Amino acid sequence: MDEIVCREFAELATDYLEGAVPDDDLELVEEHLAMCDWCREYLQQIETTSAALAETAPPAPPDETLHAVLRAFRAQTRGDAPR
Amino acid sequence: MIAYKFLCAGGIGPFSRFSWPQPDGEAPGPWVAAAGGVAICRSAVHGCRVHDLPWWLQDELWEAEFDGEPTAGRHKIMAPRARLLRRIDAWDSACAQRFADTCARRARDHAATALDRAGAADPAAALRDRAGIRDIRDAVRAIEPPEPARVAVMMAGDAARRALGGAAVVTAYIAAHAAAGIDGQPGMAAERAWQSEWLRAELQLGH
Repeated sequence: MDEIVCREFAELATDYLEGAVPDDDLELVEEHLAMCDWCREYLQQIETTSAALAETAPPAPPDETLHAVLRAFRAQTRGDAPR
Repeated sequence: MIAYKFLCAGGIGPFSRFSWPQPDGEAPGPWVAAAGGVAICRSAVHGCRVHDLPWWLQDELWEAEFDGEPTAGRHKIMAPRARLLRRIDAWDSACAQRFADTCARRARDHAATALDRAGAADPAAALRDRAGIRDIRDAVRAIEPPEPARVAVMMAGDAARRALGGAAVVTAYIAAHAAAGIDGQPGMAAERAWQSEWLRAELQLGH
Protein backbone atom coordinates (compact mmCIF):
# COMPACT_ATOMS: atom_id res chain seq x y z
CA MET A 1 0.00 0.00 0.00
CA ASP A 2 1.57 3.31 -1.12
CA GLU A 3 -0.86 5.62 0.61
CA ILE A 4 -4.25 5.57 2.21
CA VAL A 5 -7.38 7.48 1.23
CA CYS A 6 -9.93 9.12 3.50
CA ARG A 7 -12.22 6.09 3.62
CA GLU A 8 -9.34 3.91 4.81
CA PHE A 9 -8.29 6.52 7.34
CA ALA A 10 -11.82 6.59 8.76
CA GLU A 11 -11.54 2.87 9.44
CA LEU A 12 -8.21 3.37 11.24
CA ALA A 13 -9.03 6.56 13.14
CA THR A 14 -10.05 4.94 16.43
CA ASP A 15 -7.06 2.60 16.36
CA TYR A 16 -4.85 5.62 15.71
CA LEU A 17 -6.19 7.47 18.73
CA GLU A 18 -5.65 4.39 20.86
CA GLY A 19 -2.07 3.95 19.59
CA ALA A 20 -3.07 0.63 18.08
CA VAL A 21 -2.11 1.21 14.44
CA PRO A 22 0.72 -1.18 13.53
CA ASP A 23 4.07 0.53 12.99
CA ASP A 24 4.02 -0.44 9.32
CA ASP A 25 0.82 1.51 8.75
CA LEU A 26 1.52 4.42 11.10
CA GLU A 27 3.57 6.39 8.59
CA LEU A 28 0.85 6.02 5.97
CA VAL A 29 -1.75 7.25 8.44
CA GLU A 30 0.32 10.26 9.50
CA GLU A 31 1.24 11.08 5.91
CA HIS A 32 -2.44 11.21 5.13
CA LEU A 33 -3.20 13.30 8.20
CA ALA A 34 -0.44 15.75 7.30
CA MET A 35 -2.21 16.72 4.13
CA CYS A 36 -5.90 16.03 4.70
CA ASP A 37 -7.86 18.78 6.45
CA TRP A 38 -11.02 16.70 6.46
CA CYS A 39 -9.47 13.70 8.21
CA ARG A 40 -7.76 15.92 10.80
CA GLU A 41 -11.13 17.45 11.54
CA TYR A 42 -12.75 14.02 11.68
CA LEU A 43 -10.10 12.84 14.13
CA GLN A 44 -10.67 15.89 16.28
CA GLN A 45 -14.41 15.23 16.30
CA ILE A 46 -13.84 11.67 17.48
CA GLU A 47 -11.52 12.90 20.22
CA THR A 48 -14.02 15.52 21.34
CA THR A 49 -16.88 13.02 21.36
CA SER A 50 -14.84 10.42 23.25
CA ALA A 51 -13.79 12.97 25.84
CA ALA A 52 -17.37 14.16 26.32
CA LEU A 53 -18.65 10.60 26.72
CA ALA A 54 -15.90 9.78 29.19
CA GLU A 55 -17.08 12.63 31.40
CA THR A 56 -20.65 11.38 31.40
CA ALA A 57 -21.38 8.79 34.12
CA PRO A 58 -23.63 5.97 32.94
CA PRO A 59 -27.18 6.36 34.34
CA ALA A 60 -28.07 4.16 37.32
CA PRO A 61 -30.82 1.62 36.63
CA PRO A 62 -34.26 2.30 38.18
CA ASP A 63 -34.73 0.80 41.68
CA GLU A 64 -37.38 -1.55 40.41
CA THR A 65 -35.01 -3.03 37.79
CA LEU A 66 -32.18 -3.26 40.31
CA HIS A 67 -34.35 -5.16 42.81
CA ALA A 68 -35.67 -7.49 40.13
CA VAL A 69 -32.13 -8.36 39.04
CA LEU A 70 -31.06 -8.92 42.65
CA ARG A 71 -34.07 -11.16 43.30
CA ALA A 72 -33.29 -13.19 40.19
CA PHE A 73 -29.63 -13.48 41.19
CA ARG A 74 -30.50 -14.64 44.72
CA ALA A 75 -33.00 -17.13 43.42
CA GLN A 76 -30.38 -18.43 41.00
CA THR A 77 -27.79 -18.88 43.74
CA ARG A 78 -30.39 -20.68 45.96
CA GLY A 79 -31.18 -22.99 43.08
CA ASP A 80 -34.90 -22.19 42.97
CA ALA A 81 -34.86 -19.96 39.93
CA PRO A 82 -37.52 -20.73 37.36
CA ARG A 83 -36.20 -22.97 34.60
CA MET B 1 22.64 12.90 12.11
CA ILE B 2 21.39 16.36 11.21
CA ALA B 3 17.93 16.39 9.68
CA TYR B 4 14.73 18.41 9.96
CA LYS B 5 11.47 18.55 11.85
CA PHE B 6 8.27 20.28 10.85
CA LEU B 7 6.31 21.52 13.85
CA CYS B 8 3.05 23.36 14.31
CA ALA B 9 3.13 26.99 15.46
CA GLY B 10 4.68 27.29 18.90
CA GLY B 11 6.95 24.28 18.45
CA ILE B 12 4.21 21.68 18.85
CA GLY B 13 4.53 18.22 17.30
CA PRO B 14 1.78 17.87 14.70
CA PHE B 15 0.90 14.32 15.72
CA SER B 16 2.25 13.91 19.25
CA ARG B 17 1.20 17.45 20.29
CA PHE B 18 4.39 17.42 22.29
CA SER B 19 5.77 20.87 23.04
CA TRP B 20 9.37 20.69 21.84
CA PRO B 21 11.92 22.44 24.06
CA GLN B 22 13.60 25.11 21.98
CA PRO B 23 17.24 26.13 21.68
CA ASP B 24 18.44 28.82 24.03
CA GLY B 25 20.36 31.25 21.88
CA GLU B 26 23.16 29.35 20.20
CA ALA B 27 22.79 26.36 22.53
CA PRO B 28 20.76 23.40 21.21
CA GLY B 29 17.52 22.51 22.89
CA PRO B 30 17.56 19.66 25.40
CA TRP B 31 17.47 16.09 24.17
CA VAL B 32 14.02 14.62 23.82
CA ALA B 33 13.80 10.84 24.04
CA ALA B 34 10.97 8.70 22.79
CA ALA B 35 11.05 5.70 25.07
CA GLY B 36 9.76 6.14 28.59
CA GLY B 37 9.08 9.80 28.06
CA VAL B 38 5.90 11.67 27.37
CA ALA B 39 5.10 9.37 24.48
CA ILE B 40 6.34 11.51 21.64
CA CYS B 41 5.94 8.39 19.66
CA ARG B 42 5.69 4.83 20.76
CA SER B 43 9.24 3.99 19.87
CA ALA B 44 11.09 6.83 18.17
CA VAL B 45 11.45 10.51 17.47
CA HIS B 46 10.67 11.29 13.83
CA GLY B 47 12.37 13.63 11.41
CA CYS B 48 12.80 14.43 7.72
CA ARG B 49 15.63 14.29 5.30
CA VAL B 50 15.48 16.96 2.59
CA HIS B 51 13.79 14.56 0.19
CA ASP B 52 11.10 13.82 2.80
CA LEU B 53 10.12 17.44 3.34
CA PRO B 54 7.26 17.82 0.83
CA TRP B 55 5.19 15.20 2.68
CA TRP B 56 5.22 16.89 6.06
CA LEU B 57 4.91 20.67 5.64
CA GLN B 58 3.78 22.51 8.76
CA ASP B 59 4.11 26.03 10.17
CA GLU B 60 7.68 25.81 11.46
CA LEU B 61 10.77 24.05 10.12
CA TRP B 62 13.61 23.20 12.47
CA GLU B 63 17.05 21.77 11.97
CA ALA B 64 17.48 18.97 14.47
CA GLU B 65 20.11 16.53 15.61
CA PHE B 66 19.06 12.89 15.76
CA ASP B 67 21.09 10.73 18.08
CA GLY B 68 21.76 7.01 17.94
CA GLU B 69 21.29 5.04 14.79
CA PRO B 70 18.41 6.57 12.80
CA THR B 71 16.17 4.17 10.95
CA ALA B 72 14.81 5.18 7.56
CA GLY B 73 11.08 4.99 6.91
CA ARG B 74 9.38 5.62 3.58
CA HIS B 75 9.43 9.36 3.97
CA LYS B 76 10.98 9.94 7.38
CA ILE B 77 13.73 8.90 9.76
CA MET B 78 13.29 7.57 13.28
CA ALA B 79 15.81 7.85 16.11
CA PRO B 80 15.78 7.18 19.86
CA ARG B 81 16.22 10.86 20.69
CA ALA B 82 16.60 14.26 19.07
CA ARG B 83 17.06 17.92 19.90
CA LEU B 84 16.26 21.10 18.05
CA LEU B 85 19.26 23.08 16.81
CA ARG B 86 17.82 26.11 15.04
CA ARG B 87 14.69 27.26 13.33
CA ILE B 88 14.84 27.62 9.56
CA ASP B 89 13.47 31.15 9.44
CA ALA B 90 13.25 31.17 5.64
CA TRP B 91 10.30 28.76 5.93
CA ASP B 92 7.41 31.03 6.75
CA SER B 93 3.91 31.58 5.44
CA ALA B 94 5.18 33.59 2.46
CA CYS B 95 7.59 30.82 1.49
CA ALA B 96 4.84 28.22 1.94
CA GLN B 97 2.64 30.25 -0.41
CA ARG B 98 5.42 30.50 -3.00
CA PHE B 99 5.84 26.74 -2.80
CA ALA B 100 2.10 26.20 -3.18
CA ASP B 101 2.01 28.50 -6.21
CA THR B 102 5.00 26.74 -7.75
CA CYS B 103 3.36 23.36 -7.28
CA ALA B 104 0.15 24.66 -8.86
CA ARG B 105 2.18 25.71 -11.91
CA ARG B 106 3.75 22.25 -11.99
CA ALA B 107 0.26 20.71 -11.99
CA ARG B 108 -0.65 23.13 -14.81
CA ASP B 109 2.35 21.89 -16.81
CA HIS B 110 1.39 18.25 -16.23
CA ALA B 111 -2.12 19.02 -17.46
CA ALA B 112 -0.69 20.74 -20.54
CA THR B 113 1.45 17.68 -21.23
CA ALA B 114 -1.62 15.47 -20.94
CA LEU B 115 -3.49 17.74 -23.36
CA ASP B 116 -0.59 17.62 -25.83
CA ARG B 117 -0.50 13.86 -25.67
CA ALA B 118 -4.24 13.75 -26.24
CA GLY B 119 -3.84 15.83 -29.39
CA ALA B 120 -5.21 19.06 -27.90
CA ALA B 121 -2.22 21.28 -28.64
CA ASP B 122 -4.06 24.61 -28.64
CA PRO B 123 -5.62 24.27 -25.16
CA ALA B 124 -2.25 22.96 -23.93
CA ALA B 125 -0.44 26.04 -25.21
CA ALA B 126 -3.12 28.34 -23.81
CA LEU B 127 -2.86 26.70 -20.41
CA ARG B 128 0.94 26.93 -20.37
CA ASP B 129 0.65 30.65 -21.02
CA ARG B 130 -1.19 31.20 -17.75
CA ALA B 131 1.19 32.04 -14.92
CA GLY B 132 -1.12 33.54 -12.31
CA ILE B 133 -2.82 31.01 -10.06
CA ARG B 134 -6.28 32.54 -10.54
CA ASP B 135 -5.62 32.60 -14.29
CA ILE B 136 -4.79 28.89 -14.21
CA ARG B 137 -7.96 28.16 -12.25
CA ASP B 138 -10.07 30.16 -14.70
CA ALA B 139 -8.36 28.70 -17.76
CA VAL B 140 -9.04 25.18 -16.56
CA ARG B 141 -12.74 25.99 -16.21
CA ALA B 142 -12.84 27.06 -19.84
CA ILE B 143 -11.18 23.92 -21.22
CA GLU B 144 -13.23 21.01 -22.49
CA PRO B 145 -10.49 18.39 -22.37
CA PRO B 146 -10.46 15.20 -24.40
CA GLU B 147 -11.12 12.22 -22.15
CA PRO B 148 -7.48 11.08 -21.81
CA ALA B 149 -6.55 14.50 -20.38
CA ARG B 150 -9.69 15.08 -18.32
CA VAL B 151 -8.29 14.04 -14.94
CA ALA B 152 -5.01 15.91 -15.40
CA VAL B 153 -6.86 19.11 -16.28
CA MET B 154 -9.21 18.67 -13.33
CA MET B 155 -6.19 18.20 -11.05
CA ALA B 156 -4.61 21.39 -12.35
CA GLY B 157 -7.78 23.21 -11.36
CA ASP B 158 -7.78 21.57 -7.93
CA ALA B 159 -4.13 22.47 -7.42
CA ALA B 160 -4.80 26.11 -8.31
CA ARG B 161 -7.76 26.27 -5.91
CA ARG B 162 -5.79 24.68 -3.07
CA ALA B 163 -2.83 26.98 -3.71
CA LEU B 164 -5.17 29.97 -3.53
CA GLY B 165 -6.25 28.65 -0.13
CA GLY B 166 -2.62 28.42 0.99
CA ALA B 167 -2.60 24.62 1.31
CA ALA B 168 0.98 23.99 0.23
CA VAL B 169 1.15 20.35 1.31
CA VAL B 170 -2.03 19.50 -0.59
CA THR B 171 -0.96 21.38 -3.71
CA ALA B 172 2.32 19.47 -3.68
CA TYR B 173 0.40 16.22 -3.29
CA ILE B 174 -1.85 17.07 -6.25
CA ALA B 175 1.13 17.99 -8.43
CA ALA B 176 2.77 14.66 -7.58
CA HIS B 177 -0.37 12.73 -8.46
CA ALA B 178 -0.82 14.74 -11.65
CA ALA B 179 2.70 13.67 -12.63
CA ALA B 180 1.82 10.07 -11.78
CA GLY B 181 -1.19 10.28 -14.06
CA ILE B 182 1.10 11.09 -16.96
CA ASP B 183 4.27 9.10 -16.30
CA GLY B 184 3.28 6.65 -13.57
CA GLN B 185 5.29 6.07 -10.42
CA PRO B 186 8.54 7.39 -11.93
CA GLY B 187 6.71 10.61 -12.77
CA MET B 188 5.53 10.98 -9.21
CA ALA B 189 9.02 10.28 -7.85
CA ALA B 190 10.49 12.86 -10.20
CA GLU B 191 7.91 15.44 -9.15
CA ARG B 192 8.59 14.85 -5.45
CA ALA B 193 12.32 15.08 -6.11
CA TRP B 194 11.76 18.39 -7.92
CA GLN B 195 9.72 19.70 -4.98
CA SER B 196 12.43 18.67 -2.50
CA GLU B 197 15.07 20.37 -4.56
CA TRP B 198 12.98 23.55 -4.70
CA LEU B 199 12.76 23.53 -0.90
CA ARG B 200 16.46 22.78 -0.50
CA ALA B 201 17.43 25.70 -2.74
CA GLU B 202 14.86 28.15 -1.42
CA LEU B 203 15.64 27.39 2.23
CA GLN B 204 19.38 26.92 1.64
CA LEU B 205 19.38 23.61 3.45
CA GLY B 206 22.73 21.94 3.80
CA HIS B 207 21.86 18.43 4.99
